[in-house]
Amino acid sequence: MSHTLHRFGPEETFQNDFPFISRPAMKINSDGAAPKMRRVMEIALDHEPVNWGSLTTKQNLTMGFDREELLNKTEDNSPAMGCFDDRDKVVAVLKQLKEEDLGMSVVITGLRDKVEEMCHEAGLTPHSADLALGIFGATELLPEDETLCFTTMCGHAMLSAGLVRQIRKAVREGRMTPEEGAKILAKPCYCGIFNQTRAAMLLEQEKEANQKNEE
Amino acid sequence: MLVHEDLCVGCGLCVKYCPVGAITIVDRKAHIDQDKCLECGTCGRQRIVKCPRGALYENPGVYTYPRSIRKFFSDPMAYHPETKVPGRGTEEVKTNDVTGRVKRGEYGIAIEMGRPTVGASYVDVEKMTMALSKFNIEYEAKNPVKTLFLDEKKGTLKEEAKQQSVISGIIEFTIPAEELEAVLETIMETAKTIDTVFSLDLICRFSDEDPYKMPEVPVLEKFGLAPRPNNKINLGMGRPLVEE
Repeated sequence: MSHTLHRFGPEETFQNDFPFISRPAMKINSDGAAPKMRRVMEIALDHEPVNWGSLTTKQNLTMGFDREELLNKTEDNSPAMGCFDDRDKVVAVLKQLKEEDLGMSVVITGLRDKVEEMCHEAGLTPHSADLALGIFGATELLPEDETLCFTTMCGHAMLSAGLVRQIRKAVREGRMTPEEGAKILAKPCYCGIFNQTRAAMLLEQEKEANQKNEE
Repeated sequence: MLVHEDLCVGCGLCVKYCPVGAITIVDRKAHIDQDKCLECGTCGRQRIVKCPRGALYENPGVYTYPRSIRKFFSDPMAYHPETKVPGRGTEEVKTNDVTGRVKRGEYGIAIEMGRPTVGASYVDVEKMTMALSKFNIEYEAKNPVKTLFLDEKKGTLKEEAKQQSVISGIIEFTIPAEELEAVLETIMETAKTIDTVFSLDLICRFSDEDPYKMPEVPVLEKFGLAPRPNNKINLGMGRPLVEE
């Protein structure tokens, strides 16, 4: 599942958007991997991701997150999944993971120049890339671009276009702050890769543009 | 998903959370269209939707084949019995540093039918797999789509699968680099014939010559394709690092 790929929107809105995934390879280095995966999660969580999720405990940071429950339920095949909104935090995580040499695969999604730069800074040599070539077919069925910017932050498509439109409208009309709206939108994404900081920024931008149009 | 009609107060809170618009309010009760419902489970998650009466619940028959196809290809928390991986995908690029699934001189391709947001019928998935049948493709063994083939060489799918719709199904395979142009041509032609959307991924290796330079794929230009600026990078931290 390439669920951190195909995040849609203007390039400048991805400056602080870094989904993080780590996992063992099944039947290759997964036997006995639970303590290593637990340590990966501890390191990542110590550096304050903007979001974090778990398909095992069925929770993400926006729901009220029980860190110990998540760590204690780590199994050999548990992936570590979340999102950072600060490149320096990602670099710090990568440096520590490299130092501890846990041997679990790590994937970062982000603007290619930024990820390459972070690899360089952390002393890592990137191995493979998954390139997003675009969306094709009956594209007339897609929601409008402004809504896709949000729905595509949950690659499993658990975030409905209808909810996004309702929150966008509520923020535009001043009935909700961008931060409150972003928190509601983040909840359906149990993997925790939805970036509330980016969502709040997009909502704020739309609100400001709407206000200018009304003036 | 189903509704306890005796509990439902018809508040409509759940309606906007359904990714495919399967919930409506009829006679002051939530009604879930069972043809539209893809069994993703979102509406029944109390920590998200907060239904005041807990009136939405999982259909007990949802893990029975073929309805289970909807569940396993729509709910990321449902573990497919054959892949043992949650959701409808695989490890793909995530562990390529250890598995070596996509090697130098090869490309990994993922065609995620129905993504984003629209959903897909397996009739559309079959249009793509049948079109690709002219190539000698070995589909990714750990991808649950593989379990739905009637005849993998012909690209045909089981009839009961074609009666199901899902959030998405991923057609996933690896090809030699020299086949990329012909495969992309087929994918783009088939895109004109389907009733849904798909997202297209291309997995490739970084080169040894310049390890920090993103791989270039010149053939993409012929199809007007340019990778999005944000991509997914395997950082090579897995051990043992695959040897080629």
